Amino acid sequence: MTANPQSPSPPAATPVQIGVIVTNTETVAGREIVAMHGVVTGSTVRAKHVGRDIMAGLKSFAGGELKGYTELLTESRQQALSRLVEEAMRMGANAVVNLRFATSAVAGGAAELFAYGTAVTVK
Amino acid sequence: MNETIEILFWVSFPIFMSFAPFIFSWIIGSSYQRKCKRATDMREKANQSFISTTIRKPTGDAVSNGLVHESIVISPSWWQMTIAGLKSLIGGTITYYDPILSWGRQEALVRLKERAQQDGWDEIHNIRLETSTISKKGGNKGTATVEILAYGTGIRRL
Repeated sequence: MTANPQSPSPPAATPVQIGVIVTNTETVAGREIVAMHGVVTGSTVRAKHVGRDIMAGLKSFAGGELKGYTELLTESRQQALSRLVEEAMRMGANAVVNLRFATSAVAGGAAELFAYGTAVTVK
Repeated sequence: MNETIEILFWVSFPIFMSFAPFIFSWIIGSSYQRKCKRATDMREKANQSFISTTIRKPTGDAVSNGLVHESIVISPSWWQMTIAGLKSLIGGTITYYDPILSWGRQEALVRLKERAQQDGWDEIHNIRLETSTISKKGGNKGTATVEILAYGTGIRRL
């Protein structure tokens, strides 16, 4: 199961990246942008779990990382990304460039995770 | 004489008990945070040779591109929050928050580099760091938690 460094296939990345190239750079390195499709967005709102919240409160006795929250937010961000990729695929794009992430706390301890970028076709 | 000692004990005991959690939080928290910092320093040194930049337009040929993102949610200790709360009455810099926040950023970057290597990328460009408040400290509403997100574009060279 060792990766061959010479093989041209994309590396084992997160599932959302299969089929659509997602980058946060202005261009796709080594490729040329031939068509623009417009802005694509993906968002999810996640509320905190009461049990997790209590555990986090206790964990912050010593400070440091709150692993439960890290996992929760990473999961949610993956979901936002896959929604973005779905939208890009519907538009007929094969790449999303200049992707940005934004996080905002909405009422009641819920967090909105938002991703947006430009859907393009690369050659 | 004995009575005086007894009275002193019953007066000082509740005062001690109300401060004890914060004092323990100070002792345990600072040693725990130092331990985390040392571990992160070691991992940072191990990943030093990995190319990571904030260049917006990477040049040259590439086989494939892809997004890499990693985040960490951190919280200061009870002691740090208490001191910060007291300090905000008179204003000025809150030096108690600096170590935990700088550790969080360092850790997020190290994780991003590790993730990029794990996914098989050779370089990582256009790294962005974002900080957002998940919850604020307000009465019994919970703890002050901050999320630090690091993301960038992984590139695989020929």
